[in-house]
Amino acid sequence: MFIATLVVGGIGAVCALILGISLITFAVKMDAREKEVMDRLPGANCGSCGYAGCAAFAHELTSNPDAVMACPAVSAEALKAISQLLGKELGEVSPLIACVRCKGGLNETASRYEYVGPRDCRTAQIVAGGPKGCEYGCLGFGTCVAVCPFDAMEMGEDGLPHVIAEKCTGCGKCVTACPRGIIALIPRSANFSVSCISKDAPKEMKKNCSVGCIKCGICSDACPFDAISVSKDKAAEISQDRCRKCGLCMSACPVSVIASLRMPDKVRIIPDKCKGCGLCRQVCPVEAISGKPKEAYLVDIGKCIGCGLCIEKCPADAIERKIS
Amino acid sequence: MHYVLLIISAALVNNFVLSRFLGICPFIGVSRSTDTAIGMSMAVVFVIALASLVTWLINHYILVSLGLAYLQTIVFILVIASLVQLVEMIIQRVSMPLYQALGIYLPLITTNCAVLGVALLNINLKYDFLESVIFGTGSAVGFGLALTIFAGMREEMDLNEIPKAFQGTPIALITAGILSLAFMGFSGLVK
Amino acid sequence: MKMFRGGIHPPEEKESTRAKAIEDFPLSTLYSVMLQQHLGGPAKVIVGQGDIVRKGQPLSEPLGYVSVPVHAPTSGKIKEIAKKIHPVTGTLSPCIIMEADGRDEWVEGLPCSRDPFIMERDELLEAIRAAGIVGMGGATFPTHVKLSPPEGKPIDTFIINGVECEPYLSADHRLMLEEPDKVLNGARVAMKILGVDRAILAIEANKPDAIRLMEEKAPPEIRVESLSVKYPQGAEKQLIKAITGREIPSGGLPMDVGTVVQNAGTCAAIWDSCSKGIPLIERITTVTGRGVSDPKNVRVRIGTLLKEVIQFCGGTNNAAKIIFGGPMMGIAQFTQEIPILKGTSGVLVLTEKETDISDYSACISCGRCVEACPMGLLPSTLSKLGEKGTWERALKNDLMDCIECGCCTYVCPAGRPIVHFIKHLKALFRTAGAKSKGA
Repeated sequence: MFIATLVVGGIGAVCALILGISLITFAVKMDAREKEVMDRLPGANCGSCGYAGCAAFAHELTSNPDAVMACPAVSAEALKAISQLLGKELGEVSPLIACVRCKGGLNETASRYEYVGPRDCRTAQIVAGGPKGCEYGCLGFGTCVAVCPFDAMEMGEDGLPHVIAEKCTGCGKCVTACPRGIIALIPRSANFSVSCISKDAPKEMKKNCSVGCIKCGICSDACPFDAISVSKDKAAEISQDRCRKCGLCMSACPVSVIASLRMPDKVRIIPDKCKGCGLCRQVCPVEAISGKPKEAYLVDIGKCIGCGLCIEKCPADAIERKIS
Repeated sequence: MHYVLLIISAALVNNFVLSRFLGICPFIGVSRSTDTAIGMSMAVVFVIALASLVTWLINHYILVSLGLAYLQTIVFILVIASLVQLVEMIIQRVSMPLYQALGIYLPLITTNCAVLGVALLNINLKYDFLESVIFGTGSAVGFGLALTIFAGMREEMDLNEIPKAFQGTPIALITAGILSLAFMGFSGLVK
Repeated sequence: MKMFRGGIHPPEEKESTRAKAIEDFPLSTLYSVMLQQHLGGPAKVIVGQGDIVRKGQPLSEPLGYVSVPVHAPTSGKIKEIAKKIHPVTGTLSPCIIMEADGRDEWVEGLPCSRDPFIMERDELLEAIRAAGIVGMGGATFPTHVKLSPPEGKPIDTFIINGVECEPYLSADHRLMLEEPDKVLNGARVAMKILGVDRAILAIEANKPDAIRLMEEKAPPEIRVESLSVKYPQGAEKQLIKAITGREIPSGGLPMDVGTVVQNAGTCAAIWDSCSKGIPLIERITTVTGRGVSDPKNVRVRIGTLLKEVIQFCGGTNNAAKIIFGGPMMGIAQFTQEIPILKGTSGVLVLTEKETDISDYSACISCGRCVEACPMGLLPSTLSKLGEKGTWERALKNDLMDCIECGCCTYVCPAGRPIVHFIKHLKALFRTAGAKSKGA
């Protein structure tokens, strides 16, 4: 019994010694935090951060002191946890969302030929430029839906893809997948987008599609903030950084090609706080505010477009959004 | 000649995975890609070869001479565990991507019944020192061969349209069974 | 008989046109000359709206070495420089549209008369370049570039490609029967340029009359070789392997194994340009298929509208599909408002019975495509990768060595559009490559 213990113990001791020596010889400098960081990243390996997967990005974050947060899909809690782990403040990537800029579905558009082949937008595109009459329109085979790693897109009955806002992380895989560049990433806070990117003259465009942008320019005239531009060979496009989300362009558009994600909330003046300075009335682009000096001003809900310029201007903080 | 037959017998005729059905865990777990399969095979060859050598020596010179043959299982596991730790350290140092790719399956070589199986079979079949080492290495090569072949097949299968119910492990097990049937063709080659 | 690996034996379908003499397509009133009718760099338009031009006058100027000009197919006035659907890419491309004045007058000095066999090599190459000669088998690679291999690539063999392995087509066959001297003389000029003293005229065994005639007429330095009938015998790499036994390395060119191949039609064009200064403004095209009432081999000017050519051949008859080129590698068209190009060896008008639009199923790994592939690739794997879009792995499977001959698609029992998948993978690779270069 004693010998047995000695033998086993002895062999164990020798093994331990060898392992101990090896530990020093084969030591590898590894940052234990890397695995922790990686566990907190979404794990979808979408590549949107610019690295080859979440593991590679985790490595970059832990090893490079200047690394910035580049993952658009990381949740707020995960971001906080990662910041704590690394001991530095990591800013949020400004959230983006995918936007499909075409509303020419099965009923609205004409085909050039009958396409026979794989149901993939990219394979269809290489066959004589695609079966759709309009070379800027959505081919409808759903390659964007197939490549989305977050299941945030679905094909509609109308033959067009639709973005599920809650699931979309703005990773951009659908943008690359679309052979016609129809999908773009816009800030999540954006309200409006033009559903057409056609460069054809209106006459040509109308031959192929009944709902495209006719480049009339009415939207550009209606916009008080110079946030939408259109030319004879380019469909209307909204500069999201200047857009005040008032929706005037959408109301003015004769062919309803401007889509809205949600309507902005209108404003109301808090009578007790209002000092009657009249600055809000001056700055309102649609003359929706009226009142007499030194008396509480009033907002005409019917005219108000919810642009919020008055809220910014008011020195007394007396204007608030009316949540409908 | 005897040694050549020993290798053929260990690697093909009585293949550890496909004939003896030992070591199935890494066989299924590490065979998703041929690169990790080859890496795992090399690790296993190293462990089994060294394990055969060391365990035979310990058994012959220490355990048997002191009448402690009943301690074989414990002592062999001790040796194997240490060897696997050693291999882990080496791999981590030499190739970090491989280390990460193998993941949990690397330390699981310790509990791999194939490794202990080789060590114990050496004793049971009463092989001498040289025969033990050759048998051990041959078995390990056979294990690596089966693993690599299977990984290649799984890589190809990844491209096919497999019914949802069979995707992943189910089709892998069915394929392993068919591969095992194929290796039965070797039976009777060496007595 | 000499062979290459793989290949298929599709029905020849040449009965309707192989015995019909070439007919001259009459002068038309409108010609649409596409600016890009060659593989290579762009060219610049040098005429403007309203300009009066003469037959053979250059309409564009090449920008770069691997580029050729296009010429006016007849005399007349430039109507407009517009964009038309390009038959090869299917997208709108620049096109010079001109109205013929009916007089068909050559430009000053053409046709001239000179002896190419006393001209200098550089003179000959310049004549070929200025004449806008490109490979007329369909690839349209600038001939002057092909005939000027760089210093480190010595050439010892010149092959004239009279194989015409694609089913339905008979343009080269009729050319060899009706104008054998032009083809042979053009070949001799090419041989002089390359500095080789032996050449092989390759003809498939299904053209015995052409073989007999050429054997009679060929000079001693050109040997006529009859090749077994197998598609794609006429593909450069397969042709060279069959005749010389040399195999072009992966990603390589014929000059890497000391060989240059030229189509028979190109040789005839070489002769015209060197001896008479005549630019490439017309070609022989086979208009065939059960969807056209009167199949013919027509000698047609480049830029003639397809609908006029089809009218000339009796109009369509239950046509379901129109293809520019042969059935294996041709490009399907969706409109007849397109012009004949320099590389249009044939126009197929097919009925619904002659086409197959059934849906495809999963790959059954039968291996028939692997057997048939003349390049020794794995079309089954490439098709599966094409379905997933993983071009990186496809590159490792020799994606870029595929010559898109169509043998795999032809034999596939699951009806998979394998060449389409391969084209898809190549397009993905090119886009990714362009992106990484910051394009």
